[in-house]
Amino acid sequence: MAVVTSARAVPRRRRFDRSRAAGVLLVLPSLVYLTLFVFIPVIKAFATSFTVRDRDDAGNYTYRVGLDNYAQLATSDTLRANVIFTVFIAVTSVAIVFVIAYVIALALRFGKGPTAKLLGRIYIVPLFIPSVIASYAMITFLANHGFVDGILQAFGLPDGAFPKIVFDWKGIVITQVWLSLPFMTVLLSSVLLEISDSLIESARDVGASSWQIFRHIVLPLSAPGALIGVTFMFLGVIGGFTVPYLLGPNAPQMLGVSMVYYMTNYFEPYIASTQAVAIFMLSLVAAVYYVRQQFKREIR
Amino acid sequence: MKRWLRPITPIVAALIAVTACGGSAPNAGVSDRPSAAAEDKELVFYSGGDTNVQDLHVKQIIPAFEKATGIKVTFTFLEHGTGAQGIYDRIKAQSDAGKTQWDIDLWESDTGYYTRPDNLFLQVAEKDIPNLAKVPKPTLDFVQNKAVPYRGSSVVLAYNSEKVPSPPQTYDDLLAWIKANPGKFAYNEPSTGGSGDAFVISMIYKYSDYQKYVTQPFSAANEKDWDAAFAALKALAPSLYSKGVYPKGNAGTLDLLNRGEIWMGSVWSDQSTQALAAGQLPKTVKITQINPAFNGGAAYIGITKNATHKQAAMKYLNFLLDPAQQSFIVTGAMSGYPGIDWQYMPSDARSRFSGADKEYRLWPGGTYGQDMQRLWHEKVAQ
Repeated sequence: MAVVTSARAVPRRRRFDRSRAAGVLLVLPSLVYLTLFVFIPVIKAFATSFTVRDRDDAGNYTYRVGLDNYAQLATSDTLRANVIFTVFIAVTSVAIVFVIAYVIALALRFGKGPTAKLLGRIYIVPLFIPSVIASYAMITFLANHGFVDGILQAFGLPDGAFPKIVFDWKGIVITQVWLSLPFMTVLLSSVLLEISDSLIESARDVGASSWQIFRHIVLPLSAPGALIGVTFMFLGVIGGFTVPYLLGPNAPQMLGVSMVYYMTNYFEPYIASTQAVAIFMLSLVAAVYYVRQQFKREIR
Repeated sequence: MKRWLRPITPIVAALIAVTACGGSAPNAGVSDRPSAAAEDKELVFYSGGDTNVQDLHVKQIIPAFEKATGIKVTFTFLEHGTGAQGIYDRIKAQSDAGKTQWDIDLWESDTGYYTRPDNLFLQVAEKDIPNLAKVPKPTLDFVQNKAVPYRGSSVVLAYNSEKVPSPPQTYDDLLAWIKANPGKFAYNEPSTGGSGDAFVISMIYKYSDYQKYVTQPFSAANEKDWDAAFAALKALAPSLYSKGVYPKGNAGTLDLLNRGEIWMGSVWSDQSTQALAAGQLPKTVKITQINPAFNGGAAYIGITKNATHKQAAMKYLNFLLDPAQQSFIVTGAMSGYPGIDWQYMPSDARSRFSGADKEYRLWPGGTYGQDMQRLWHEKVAQ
């Protein structure tokens, strides 16, 4: 009996092994990549954030393990302001992009006129412009005595009345919105395309108004996909450097900028790592949400 | 050392040297050269920086030097300081291996390398390099004579001469002018460019003792004086451009000057002079130096301690400090300050920086610099 069982089991296990080997081989490159460039750096940053560096009067350093960096993140006015500012910018930009992109996507999905067609061609343009070029363009465009100010002054706006947009939070938000709009619109458009026409037509047949169709069919059906787009953009904005560096105020700073300053200018790699962990934690909230949505989708 | 080991030693040293450079540096010249007799016939010079540094040596100084002395210069250039640490490691490997003839004679790099405790650079003296007598002493003291300052630049005050007929002469005058002309002065965010740092450093020197920073090692106690300086800077913010907007980078201040947004700003001497020459700033913009001066710094070249061609290296540095060669630095594309005192310079060179052809103050940077930038952000930025 035992012989028979094992004889039957052997080829099966071999087949299983071969497919498993192929699977491992397929996963291996991305696993190596993730380990080298994601897992190890994250673990290192995490460990570094618990290294506390003390300096004596002569400038000599001593090192110990502790939570002081986190305490500083919570109590230092500058650092705390940076965390709050980062969340504020991310939430504001994402909210504005979402509303505008949704309107454009609706127009592209349901609009039939030449305006919708034209919109479908031009909204994609910012996708091909690097953020550093867009940032400098925004500076000359929106600065005081810049392009827009100049035109408004020609129409009678008094000198100095133009609001401070560049070197201010408004500058970051406007540029992030401009840069992220195409991506969000593409994503929302594909989500809206998934909603079948027959569903909407049948609703219309039973007398539903446009608002009712939007409120009870389009919005709920597009919500999961839309929220994934929101997650992605939130992650992009929260870790951004170029736009807040070039267009943002001197203080508060977004965490991406602040982190670079602490790392390269102030020679405080431990505080920088702690800020990195803070960004990571903020991103984790979004990432967990994303994974849960994906999971739900697969079950469905 | 065992006799049979001896022939291998240079090979081992060479291997160490090559691996120290990650194997990427050209390994020509790693082998031992014949001992430097009375007359060196060649010179090995490693340098780094912007291409204007390369041009200065390759197109002007080296050909003139080779013609004047008959010494053949082998020049290796690494742009923007890439691999500076590798070169340093290569020199150190030869030192560690106990070699007496190192394969790099001259090295031009960041100031900090020359005074490292490894002690890899020769202390220069006037008897070897006579032109050192013309070099301002503080710039030599700054590196303990372990390198020769041969060009420099400092932060200066740039002003729109149409709007400001008589610029401030002192730092206090400047502060008074800023308060009297709100919105017309800017200095860039310190972390983003040295010309912004200089304005902050001048305020620190106003409330602290300058000598403590240039003659003594770092002491955190000195930073206690800074509170008053930062409070004064914070109080100044409402009178600055856009009620306290600090442009990003040295170019940020120049851009505001160019657009007429501000009438005065702290800028780099070389960067502003180049911009003026290139027409990137209106001709109405002029530069001047206040008293006491904004800080600046020199670029140095060091002779390695066991250089194979020590005599040639000293000759090169002496040649470089000659007023004729120094004039190239001032009037050429580099727009640098001379390494020697302005009084030895011909008048056409002086006229290029008229108003700013003065000594500048120094700033030790390092930990002080890191703390200054961080504290500025915490206490002044808004």
